[in-house]
Amino acid sequence: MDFVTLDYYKIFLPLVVILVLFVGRQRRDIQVLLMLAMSYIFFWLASGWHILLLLTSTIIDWTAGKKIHNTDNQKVRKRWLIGSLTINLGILAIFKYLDFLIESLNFVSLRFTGAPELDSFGLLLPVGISFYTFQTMSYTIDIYRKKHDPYARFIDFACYAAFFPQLVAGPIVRSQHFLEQIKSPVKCNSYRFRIGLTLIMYGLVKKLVIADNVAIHVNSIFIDGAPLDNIGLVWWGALCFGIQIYCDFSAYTDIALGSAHLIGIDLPENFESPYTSKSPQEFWRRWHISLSTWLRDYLYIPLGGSRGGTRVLIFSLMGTMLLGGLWHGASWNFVLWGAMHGLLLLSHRFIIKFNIINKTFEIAPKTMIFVSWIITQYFIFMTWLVFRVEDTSMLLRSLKTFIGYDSHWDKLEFQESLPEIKLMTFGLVIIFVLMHGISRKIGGFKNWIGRQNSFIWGICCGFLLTAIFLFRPAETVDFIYFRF
Amino acid sequence: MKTEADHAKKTHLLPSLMVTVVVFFFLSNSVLSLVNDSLMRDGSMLTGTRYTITKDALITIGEDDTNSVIGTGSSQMFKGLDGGCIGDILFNEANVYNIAQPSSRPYTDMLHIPRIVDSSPEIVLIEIAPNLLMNTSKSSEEYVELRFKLDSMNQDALDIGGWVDIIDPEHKEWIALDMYDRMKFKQEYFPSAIEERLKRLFYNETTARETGAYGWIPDKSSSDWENYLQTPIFPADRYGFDGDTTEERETYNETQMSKTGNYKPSYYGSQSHLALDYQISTLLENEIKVIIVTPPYHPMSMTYVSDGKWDGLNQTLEYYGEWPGVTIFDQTWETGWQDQHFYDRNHLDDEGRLEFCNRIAPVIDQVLNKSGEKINFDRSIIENTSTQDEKVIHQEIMEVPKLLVISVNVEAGSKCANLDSDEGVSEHVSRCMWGVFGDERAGIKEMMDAADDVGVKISFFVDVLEFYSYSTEIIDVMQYIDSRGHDVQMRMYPSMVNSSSWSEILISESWIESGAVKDNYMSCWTQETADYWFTKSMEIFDLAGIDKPIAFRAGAYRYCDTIIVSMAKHGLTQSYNYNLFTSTQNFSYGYVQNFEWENGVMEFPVSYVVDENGEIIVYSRIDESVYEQEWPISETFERFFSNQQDTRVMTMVLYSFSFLSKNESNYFYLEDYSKLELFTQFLKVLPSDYKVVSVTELQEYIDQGIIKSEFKLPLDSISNECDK
Repeated sequence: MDFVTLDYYKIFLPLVVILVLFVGRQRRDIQVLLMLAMSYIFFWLASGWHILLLLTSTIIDWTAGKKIHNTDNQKVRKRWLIGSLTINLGILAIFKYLDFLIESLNFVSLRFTGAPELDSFGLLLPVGISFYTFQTMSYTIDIYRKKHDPYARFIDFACYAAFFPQLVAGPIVRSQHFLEQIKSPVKCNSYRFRIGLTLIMYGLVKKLVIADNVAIHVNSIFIDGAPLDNIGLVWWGALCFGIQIYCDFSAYTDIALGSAHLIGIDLPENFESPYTSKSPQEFWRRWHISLSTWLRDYLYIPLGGSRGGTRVLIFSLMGTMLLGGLWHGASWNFVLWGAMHGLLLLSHRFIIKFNIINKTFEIAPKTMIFVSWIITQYFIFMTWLVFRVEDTSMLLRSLKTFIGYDSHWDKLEFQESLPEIKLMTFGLVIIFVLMHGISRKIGGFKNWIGRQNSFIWGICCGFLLTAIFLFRPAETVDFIYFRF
Repeated sequence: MKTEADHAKKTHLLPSLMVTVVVFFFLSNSVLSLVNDSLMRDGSMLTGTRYTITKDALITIGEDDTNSVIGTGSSQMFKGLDGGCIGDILFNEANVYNIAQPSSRPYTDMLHIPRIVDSSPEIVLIEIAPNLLMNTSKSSEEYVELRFKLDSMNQDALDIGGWVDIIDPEHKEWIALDMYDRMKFKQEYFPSAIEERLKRLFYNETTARETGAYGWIPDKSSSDWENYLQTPIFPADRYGFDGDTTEERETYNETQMSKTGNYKPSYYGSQSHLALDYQISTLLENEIKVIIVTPPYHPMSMTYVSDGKWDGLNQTLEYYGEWPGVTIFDQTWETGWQDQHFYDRNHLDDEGRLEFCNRIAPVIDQVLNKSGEKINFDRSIIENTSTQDEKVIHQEIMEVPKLLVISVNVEAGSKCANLDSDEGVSEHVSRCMWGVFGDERAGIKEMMDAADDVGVKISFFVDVLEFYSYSTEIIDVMQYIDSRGHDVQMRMYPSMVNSSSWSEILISESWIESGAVKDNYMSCWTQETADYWFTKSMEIFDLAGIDKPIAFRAGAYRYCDTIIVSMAKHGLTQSYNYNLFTSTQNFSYGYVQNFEWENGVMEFPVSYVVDENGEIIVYSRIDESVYEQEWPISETFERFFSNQQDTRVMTMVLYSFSFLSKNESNYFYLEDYSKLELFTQFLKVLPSDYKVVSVTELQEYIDQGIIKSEFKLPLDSISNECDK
């Protein structure tokens, strides 16, 4: 089950709302228990026996958190922390990275040493493992850092670890934020309920109308063998994929936030119009916010951050981005993607130190802001090629073409390489670009819609529903971040 | 700054939701109508634009104050019925409308009956043809889906009637019964429609057909509309026989005329019969008279119809002819139809239409003359013919043919290598499939040559997993068989996947995601493993670019419940695995014939016959021994068919290396052509009582209900087959 399954809206979500708000009404413990039960059912339907891994992670971090809190002996505290991190990262390493490691070893050994090939294990990636592992790890680390106390009740913590809206693809919620939400009985008023519905519909528009339609173009360019030396095709492919991944991922977050709202839980935002960013730094403040803040708090700063001189900065920034890239998936493409973003962040840091840049900003601020936006987005969309194109030779070809090296433009070839439905997709992309820009100015379309009176809200949501109904393609694509 | 509580006070959930729902339905419906409707009719979305006219046509007919006659049916009726011509020569005043649709059949036409009744015609012409009296076959499901969706999405509550109950449960998802379903079907065309609109807007381009071309339909508000409903735009004669060169015509006569002889109409009980019962009885109950029309066929094509083959048609006509208010206008058996009347073997041209017009007009006049007479239709007439006694009579009349499926296992195992060659491996396929030994050859090509000489089709069960050993050599074999017009069906020998292929498969994403496990024993396969290999095997058919198979035989007859489940998932409807004497099958239901698994897959066991002593032994299998023995073939075959009165399907097992011999080390070699000659001779002398059919041809018999299963078995009866 996932957020584009009809059963989620017909059966699962209404059942959760009825159970939590009506059956468990005003009884906090019952509500938490019901949310926990439904979350486990959701996870079972999505990932089967992997539910045991979630349970293991939950028990380990719950125990470690208690043990760390209950002693002042620094050695014991450290031992429990390391134990917890080892088990969490160990599970993650086995299920997500072991086969990747074996394949990489085979690649090296077969080419250079002629050693016998190792068999991979063929393990299936448990759904959401990267998300809930980071979530529970942050809980234990925060207790170790004495930032907060452990949860008083196991079921509260288990509910935090498994809460179904954000379990599979985030946002990565901090434990104190969630505890705040459930410390008293959860309740929902009509305003909040409407905000929830708005978020869900808005998310479905982004997913089914935009992401799934542009995905058809992306696939026809990068999978169906389009000529990748045509600069128009590669640029269009990169643009479409950038839009696809944003709409796909942020749609998941919107639906997660919306679903949580329906039962009175407020989850943090994960995106803030990232393609309006005018620097790589700003991009990471607006893109996958819960991951970037997690990486900042638990990786970048512990590695030294920006306070230890240039070398430390380079080390901590590149280390963070490389690991951040690898977090996305067991593939060298993601490592390269992380490295490119690391280099972008470092370059930006060094470039802005030049006086001439600052002076130009002072002289022609609007022009420079526009130029910064163009340059930033050019590189951001270039990195999406690394994210999307798995085949090495195709990737190199695409990157060369993207920067205009050894490339050409052929309109007819461009048109013939795209699927039959072209103009509609062009239109959707234009609408997306306009909405993305306007959305930032008005503090988010979804929030604007949510604040309107019944009549205008009804009209807006009627439009959203109509768009979902009319423009959805025949086949729905899986959420991209399900793979991570 | 407003707080959440302030907002909550002013927020009313129910009115908000009501506005949403109203806006959604209003907006979606309006946009769909605005964007889709006209494009559905101008040829830019559909090639068969005519399919969209029926509802509007019937509304127009309903508004016509003159007597009206409505003609329904398939392309034969569509191209034969010139309503304008008929109207002109009728003595009675009446407008004759042609709403027949290409490829239509009673099962699809029945959806319009409530609206036809509402339009109050005097007479409805219903076409009954030999190719229409059957169930929906797999190959025609796509058409039925298109028609059901197109017709029902344009309907409203008035169109819903008794036909809903006749729709096959599997086809119900293609029928829109409410507003939302109708919108859903219309939405399937929306992205293409919006694309077309944008193309017109920005590029001034259109894919719509030219006005006045065949297949084009006029706007319902135009002056051409009513004329079009009576006399549609027919395809120009120059595209039919009249445009053929002598050579083209000769080729047509040789290859296409015989197709008429392939039809085998059912006697009763098919989807078409149920639909006809509904159509005719509903019309009669509403005092609308019915003329059943059978279309004419080219006289040359009628020579291919063997005696009794169309008894199902005759029986059906006889049955409905007895109903009060029904008139039979039978042109299929009527004489006088000549070459110049025909556009092709089963459609009329201009001259033919005129002839048809002259022939049918007096019949319509005759019926119109009786328009004041009340039809005393009694519904019990339908039930009477459905009694058990009647069915028994039908059963006796129906001549079930004695069918023989020649199944050839196409495989190249280890004993096919050329030990004298440095590159022995590469000769497996050429030796054991093509039968090539130096300049000599006796393999599948020669087998097909022999079959083609007598006009029969062979079913080749190609071991597709040998693709993982011999790569494109297997694809070449599949494509060649297909190009010769014989059946390529599926066989699997997992042990033929070589180790280097395995090492690639095991690390592939599809393998990892499938949950399959490596196991060469198919009878031990888990569901995931079976699904994986059937999916992969189907991909090999895609790679070869040939039709998907519908039958399967496992290597060494090793199969179990997961195989049958996966077969059904992949559209394979016939299993050729049950083998009474194989040691690889634990389960046995004894000496049984055609039966069915609970998921609908039909099982056609390897055939054995009682020997001359009346015993069934392993050596009595129907294979090459049948034509290598001395006594007459019919003697052997009759021993089989005399025991199998009802099922009538015999399965012969041959191999691609059946014409080869084995040396002392059991390696194949081509000794001489004697085995090929015996096979050729066997086909030539096979008595006409026995009909060789391919698996695909057998499926038509199954679809028509002529070949049925003896009994049904639960899948769990073969769930413990794993025996290594």
